[in-house]
Amino acid sequence: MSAQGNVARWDRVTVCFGTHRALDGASFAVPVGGVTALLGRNGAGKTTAIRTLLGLLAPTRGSVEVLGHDALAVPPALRARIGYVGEGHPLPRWMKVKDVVAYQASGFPTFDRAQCTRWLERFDVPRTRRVMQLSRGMRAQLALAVALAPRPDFVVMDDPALGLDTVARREFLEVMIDLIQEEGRTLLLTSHVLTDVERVADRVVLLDRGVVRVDAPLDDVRRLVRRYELVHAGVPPETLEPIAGLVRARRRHGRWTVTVRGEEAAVVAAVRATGAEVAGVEPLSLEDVFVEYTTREEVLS
Amino acid sequence: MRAVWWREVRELLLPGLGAVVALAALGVHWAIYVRPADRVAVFGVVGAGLGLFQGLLDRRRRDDGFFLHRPASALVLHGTRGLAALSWLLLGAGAFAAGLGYERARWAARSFAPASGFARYSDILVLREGDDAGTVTIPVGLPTSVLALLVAVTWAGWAATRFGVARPRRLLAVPVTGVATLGTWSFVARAPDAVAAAAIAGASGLAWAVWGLWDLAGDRR
Amino acid sequence: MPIFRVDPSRGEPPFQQLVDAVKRAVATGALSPGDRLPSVRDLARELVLNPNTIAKAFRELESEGVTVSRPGAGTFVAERRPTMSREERRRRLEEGFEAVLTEAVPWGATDEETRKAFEDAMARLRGAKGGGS
Repeated sequence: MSAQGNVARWDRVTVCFGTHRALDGASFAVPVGGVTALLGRNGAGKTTAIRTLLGLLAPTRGSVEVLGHDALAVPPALRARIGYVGEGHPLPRWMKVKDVVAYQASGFPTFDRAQCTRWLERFDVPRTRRVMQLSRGMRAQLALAVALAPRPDFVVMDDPALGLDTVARREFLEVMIDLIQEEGRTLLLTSHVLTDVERVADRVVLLDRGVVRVDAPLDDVRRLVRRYELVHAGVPPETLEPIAGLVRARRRHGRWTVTVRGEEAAVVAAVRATGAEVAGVEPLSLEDVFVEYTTREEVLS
Repeated sequence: MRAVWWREVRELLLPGLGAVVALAALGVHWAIYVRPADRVAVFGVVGAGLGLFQGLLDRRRRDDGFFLHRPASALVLHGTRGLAALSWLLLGAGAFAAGLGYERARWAARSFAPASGFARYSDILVLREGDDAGTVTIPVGLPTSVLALLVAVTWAGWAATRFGVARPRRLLAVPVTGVATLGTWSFVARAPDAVAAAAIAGASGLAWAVWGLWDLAGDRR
Repeated sequence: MPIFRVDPSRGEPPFQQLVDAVKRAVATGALSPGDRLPSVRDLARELVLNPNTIAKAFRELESEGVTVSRPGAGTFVAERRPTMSREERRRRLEEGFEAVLTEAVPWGATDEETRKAFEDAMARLRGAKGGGS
């Protein structure tokens, strides 16, 4: 592991596809142990970030470090300690379930066949069926089982809940909790199911159009990002004076509502300094926070 | 790496079978009239075609994580894929030889002598000499160790296409690979003597290999 | 063992919800002093929550004196002894009531209604305690 105690670190990473910048100078890290959730809307750069991490994609500028090595030069022995589930759970369509297991087992020296079999039985995935005949949910579970069976120290999952129904998602979360219980394991995952993220994540990184907007412990995000309703004496102004940590400001029904990141007392003081009063404070769920950060309108900064 | 090899062979099932059938048909069609150098060149073209197909497979970049995230160096991983393509090519060579043999036997039964007048050639697959015989032929006198280099040329043609297609140079890579593969083979087949042929094959094999593998510096996959 | 409910889609962070749930269980008597809480591991499985979140809630409960942990044995509901000074208790009570009343005033609740609601809540809590233990 690197000196900073990070499993992976992105350093001013820019990835261009033609003129489009999938990542735009993004810097963030995944600390050792615990669960980091990479959030963002579709096209925010999550998958691109993960692909640079695995060395499947070279950054246009900047560098990515994983397990103390450049992501484009990870020795096979270290790569064996990384588990990866790709977006949409891609597996060769013509393979039978047992072929997929055998294929993965032949590559990863630490592959735990017994555990893999247990998971597949728990998920009810038939061993002799071909991948193309599996339902989406079963394919997802197969992909997870073979990615996790080598008992990797660092698990990278790109939208693992995609295509899972409610029950399958809960089963998957339970497997995740079991994984976290094992000391020192690090997980990096992307997801659109933010209530699941709230259950399992220690840390969130929020990307918006290739830029890192939030990189903090989940508890901090939940505690610090709040919505404040403002009242102005007389007619509310057309534009709002700047408030430190402002995420989003909206004017509705003649009142300003602002979402601000900061200690509540400090925010209230800052609001007062602009000549307004705080009429109400509302804590936000992660889903609310996500919407506040990524909605494309009236974002004042 | 047997699993990787087999996976790639299976992924190439359709184009591989296509190549085998096409080469068998060409064996029949070209049994009599076409110069050996051109027969030989077709293998370069088919090899490049397989490489191109593999490259196109890789264009579905989002689906390849399961395959590419594997504790093996990128060189081994893609080298094994090259061997899988080469396996199909060898099968195709067998089919070509079979088609050729079949057609020759038919002609012989009808008591026609095949048209000749070219230099003597050695068939590097069946190690047999003749005026105009064989599947993959080289001028007589070329040391058999050159066989390895010739294989390298085909393989490097594949590698160049594969990486050329996967990288931003793909538009350039396709015509360059096709022309260069054809050119290399015809130069080898028409070289004035064995030493020159060996030199051409060796130099071009090296150049192809360097270009094809250059992208694999480090562990970029 | 009471069932703790944690719903991540609610406004409060999950760890706070768990802290509140345990406190409520202690207040209603569903948990008595000396009762052992489930291990972090078991609770993480049961609630499908990150064990770090559970551990954080347990730390919070311990620092507030609701539970005590005995190394190797687990986490137990603390004996109800006045760990807080009288002054501190009074301050906390005042804070709590003030929060409720600030909410209630804009609804136009009368003093009488407020007092009655308070007494009903007390009665419910006592009733639950009588029945629960």
